Order: sequence, then C-alpha cells, then structure tokens
Amino acid sequence: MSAGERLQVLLLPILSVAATFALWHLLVRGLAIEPSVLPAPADVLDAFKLGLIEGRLYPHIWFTLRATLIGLAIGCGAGILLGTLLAEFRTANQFIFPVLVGLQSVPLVAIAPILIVWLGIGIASKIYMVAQICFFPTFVSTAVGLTLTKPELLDLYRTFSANRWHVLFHVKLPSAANHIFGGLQIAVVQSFIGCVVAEFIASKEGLGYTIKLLSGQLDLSMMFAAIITLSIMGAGAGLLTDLMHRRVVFWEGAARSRKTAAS
Amino acid sequence: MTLTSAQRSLAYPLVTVAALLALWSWVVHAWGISAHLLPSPELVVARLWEGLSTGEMWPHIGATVVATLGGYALGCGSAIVVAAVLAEWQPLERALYPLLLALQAMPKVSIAPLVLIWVGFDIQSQVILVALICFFPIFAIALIGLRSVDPNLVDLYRAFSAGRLHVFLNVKLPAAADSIFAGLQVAVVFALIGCVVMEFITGRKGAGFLIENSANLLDTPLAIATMVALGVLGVIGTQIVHFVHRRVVFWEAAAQSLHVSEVKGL
Repeated sequence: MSAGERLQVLLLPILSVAATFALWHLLVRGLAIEPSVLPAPADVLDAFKLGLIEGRLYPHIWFTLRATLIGLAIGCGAGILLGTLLAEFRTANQFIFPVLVGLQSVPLVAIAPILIVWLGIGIASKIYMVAQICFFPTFVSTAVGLTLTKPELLDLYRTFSANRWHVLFHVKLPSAANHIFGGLQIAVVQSFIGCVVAEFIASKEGLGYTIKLLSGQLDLSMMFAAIITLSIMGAGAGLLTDLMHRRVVFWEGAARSRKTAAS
Repeated sequence: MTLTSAQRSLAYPLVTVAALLALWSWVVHAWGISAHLLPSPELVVARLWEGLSTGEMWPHIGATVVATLGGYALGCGSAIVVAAVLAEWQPLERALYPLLLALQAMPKVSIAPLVLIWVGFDIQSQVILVALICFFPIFAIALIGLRSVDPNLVDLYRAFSAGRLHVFLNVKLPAAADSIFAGLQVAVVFALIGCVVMEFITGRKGAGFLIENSANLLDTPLAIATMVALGVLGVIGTQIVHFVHRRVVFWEAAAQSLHVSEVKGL
C-alpha cells in the first residue's frame, strides 16, 4: 500500500462520518425541521444523556439484555445438542433434518402474537422468541459442521479403538468448532430481533417496548437513542462472540486471518 | 420394497410431519385443551379452508404479497447496484464503510415504528422496511462475491484489452452470481418477516395484522391458519428463487442450498 493510499484509508472514513453529521445538522437547522420529524444530532445527544447518564433507559436495557441472553443460551444450547444428536444418529437425521431446514423458509417470527396468548406479556414470551430465532442457525451449523471431519482422522482414532464419546469430543467437535461458531455469530446478531419483535407486540418493559411507546409520543430523539443503544448492544455481542471464536478455536486463527486478508 | 434415496429424502420428512400432526391432535383431544389456547390441526385446516373459501383471508394475503415483492425487488436491486459501484470504485467504499457498518449493526426491525412515522400507514411503510431488511445481507454477499473473482482471469481479460464494463459483466458478475442467488433465497424469508413485523405495527391490513388481530380476539385457529399460509408463501418464494438460481447459474454444483442458512441479516 502506498503512502497516499494509506492516507486515503485513514482519512476517507473520518471525512464521510463528519460530513454525514454536518449535513444532518445543517438539514435540520436550515430547513427548521420539527424534532418530531427528524431530531438534530444535538437533540439525540441530549436524549442519550437523559437515557444513559440519568438512567431512564436502564430498566429497559436490562430487561432486553436479560431476555436476550437467557433465550440465546437456551436456543444455542438446544441447537448444538440437537445438531450433535442428529449428526451422531444418521437414521433419525434423515427424518428430522429436512423438516427443520424446511422450517427455515417459514417466517417463524410471525408467531409472536400467538406466543403472547400462550406465555403472557412478561419475559417468558421474549425468551421463547429469542431461543427460537437462535436455534436454527446454531442447529444447522452444528449438524453440517460435524459432517466435515476428515475421514482419515476418524479412521485413525477407530484403529486405536477409541470409543464413540472419545471420537465425538476429541475429533468431531473440535473439527466442527469453527463452523459452529459461525452459526453462533449469526444467532447472536439475530437474537435481539426476536426480543424486540415480541416487545413490539405486548410488553411492559424493554427497548422494543420503549421504541414503540415513544413513537406514539413522537419523541424521536429518545427513539433514536434507544435504537442506537440497541445497535450498540447487538454489535458488542457480535464482537464478543468473534473474540470468543478466536480464543476457543485458536488453531484456525491462521486460516481465518488468511481468509479475511483475501476478502 | 426398498426405496431409492430420492424417494427416501421425500418420504422420511413427510413421516415426521405426519407424526407431529398426529401427536398435536392427540394432545389437544386427550387433554381437552381449549381451541382458544391451542386448536387441533383439523380445526386449523378447517379454519384455513373457511378463510380461503369465504375470501376473508385473501385481501390480507394479497397485501402482504404485494408489499413483500415490492420491498424485495427494491432492496435486492439497489443492494446489487450499490455493491457493484463500491466494488468498482474503492475510494467510495472506504468512505462509506463506517456508515454502512453502523447501519448494518442496527437491527432493522427495531426502526419499524420510525418508518411508520416517516412514511405513514399505507403500503409504502411495509415496502421500505422490507427493502431495508433485504438490502444489507445482499449487499454484503454481492460485495464479497464481486471481489472474490480470480485476479488471473481479470488480468487475462485486461491483457486482451477488455473494457471495464466487459470485465464486470463477463467475469465479475458471473463469479458472484452463485453467492448472490444464495443470498436472494434467504432474503425471501427476511422480506416476509419484515413485512409481517411492519403489519404488526401499523395494524391495518396484511397477514401480520390478521395474526395479531385474531390472536387478540382469541381466534387462535385463524391466527395459526394465517401462520400456515405465510409458511406456504415462504416455501413457494424460496423454491422459486432456488429454481431460477439453478437455471441462471447452471455451471455451479448444487451444493449451495444447505448453507444459505448461514447468511447474516435482518
């Protein structure tokens, strides 16, 4: 990379972000747009102060975070467990795997209002929605990942008469780990969506509930603050998963960085 | 009689589905569960038939299909165009990268109430949300696909003094086509989800409205019947894209479909 190019890589993103905020500010001030249509950056900053420093958003952040984390644990746990079971029992796999893959073509999020009937407007319906959304990517990546073990390695372990558990934990799962983390990454990114949709339908707490409530009051500054907070939570969870991926599956590090360099 | 593997891959899942339906029906009847809480599958089918034959469901399904198609076309089309422009002109990509990253991090469904305030209750709010939801996964896939082209092939074309447009249309786009289609297939479900969520919020028309409204009225059979109809729409849409994929990108092997679930999005 030449010096000019390096300067470009550094300067262009900063310039474009600064230009966006300047344009946003000038647009709102210049055309005297009402804050109930588009709040100025300064208004959003004020809302942030109110929400995150004075703490008006804290209970909602905590609710959404709790529902998402519990749902994530249940959904991903179930996905990995069932994925492993089906990969181990080939006959059962033929019966169940196509059905679960077919369900991926169904917009299951639409079940949210029925869930409220079943589980009520409390945290249970949110946890279920998150778990359901997280289940599919984890399940598919586990079931597919476990089939990717090198056959020579399996033969080697069998030759030394390793039993099924030993092969699963020492050969198959480590070989699939990279793939499973790929699924987890998607589950984490999508998990907040399930929670927010369930909160839209009926809730007493949570960021999704807040966003919908504020839209009724036309308090767009606080809405922006809530949406941005949610985005930061999602991005943070995604980054954490990526970090964990690198730590746990440390042996694929070289391959991964080569791939990112190529892309 | 032994089944061929193709017959088995069709028959086995059907056995599972039949078994699940039987279990569902048995549980409802044996425990005497109220139809408001969980209707039996027979009741759902009867309600689906009633909804379709009396025409009660058609306006809602029609509204959802039109809005989903419009948003899907708008979102996917613009994603491919923007990805092509950014892939061809790197300074622009560098400048826009942080903004796109920030937008991608945002859970798109969370801005549904904001879209409602900005564009109103009618079909345009659904179209906009669906387009936003479809845009990012397709954009990311197209950009990676367009860049993953074999540089030797590009050099070869350049050596024979092929123009930029020629290289794009004959080398880069075909190289990216397979992954773009895989993304388009997943985007069908994303689009339906976006449309349904927007209908939850606007509460005027559409399959999402019908589900929410009938769940509120404790007409659970109709809510589940509408879910089934949405599921059928999702499967049909996905299969159409899959079919077009195989026809257009005939040169790639059929290994793709399994991995479409691994596309980030929403």
